[in-house]
Amino acid sequence: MLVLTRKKNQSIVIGNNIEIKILKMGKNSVEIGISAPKTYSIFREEVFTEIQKKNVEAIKSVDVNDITDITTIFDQLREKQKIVEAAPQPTTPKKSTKKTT
Amino acid sequence: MEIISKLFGNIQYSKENVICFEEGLIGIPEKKNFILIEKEDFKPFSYLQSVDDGTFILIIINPLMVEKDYRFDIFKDDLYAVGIEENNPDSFSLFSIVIFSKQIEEITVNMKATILINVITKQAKQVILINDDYGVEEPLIRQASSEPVNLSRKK
Repeated sequence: MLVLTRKKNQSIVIGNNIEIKILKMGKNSVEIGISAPKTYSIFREEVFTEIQKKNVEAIKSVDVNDITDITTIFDQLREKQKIVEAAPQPTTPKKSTKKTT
Repeated sequence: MEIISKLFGNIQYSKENVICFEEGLIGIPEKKNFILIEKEDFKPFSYLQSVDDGTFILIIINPLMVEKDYRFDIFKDDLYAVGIEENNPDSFSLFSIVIFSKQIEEITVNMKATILINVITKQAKQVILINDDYGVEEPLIRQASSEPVNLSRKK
C-alpha cells in the first residue's frame, strides 16, 4: 500500500480524474472529500464488504439442481401465508387521524 | 441467442432483453449481463439469470411485496447512472435480492442494496439506499405482530 502524509486541505490525485482531499481532522476521524466521475461508485468499505458478502451468499443459496427445489418451498410459503391470512385477526382500535396540537 | 441455465435449461433470448449492469453487482464486477425470468408460477418471485454463466442466478422480489410501505431514497447520480430522468419515475423497476433457504423462516431479503432497472434501456445498477430503514438480511416472513408479506400470485 502506498502511504502518503497530507495536511488539512491537501489532496491526492489518482489517475486523471479522481481527487481525494483532507477536509477536517478530528481526534479519531478525518473528513475526506472525493471528486470522481459519476460512473465510479464510492462506498464506505464496511458497507461494500457487507453487501458483497450478501450477494455472494444469495448466489450460493440458489445452488440447487432443480428449480422445483425452490418453487416447492415458495409454494409452502404461500400456503403458510394463506393460513395466516385466514386466521381471525385481532381487532385493534383504529388510530385517530385527528391532529393533536 | 442462447444460454444453458442450470435451473431453467435452454433459454433463448434476444439481445434487446439483456439487462446490463455496467459495474456488475456490488463486489461481483465480473457478471454484467442478465436476463429477467418471470413466470406466472414463480410470482411474486423472479429470477435474474446471467447470460455469461448458466450457474449464476439470483432470486429477486419487488421489495413492495415484502414491505408495502418500502421507502427508498437514492442518490440522483444512481438514477442518472441507469439513464433515468428524475421526472420519469415509471421507467424503472426495483428488485431486492433474496437469500434462499429450504428453511422458510431463514429466507432473507436484502432490502438495503436494491436493484434498479431502467425498463426501457435495460441499464441496471445495484444501489444502496440513503435511508437507514432496512438491513441486508430482512426476514421474508415477518413476526406475527407486523404486516404479513403479500405472497399471493394475484396482483
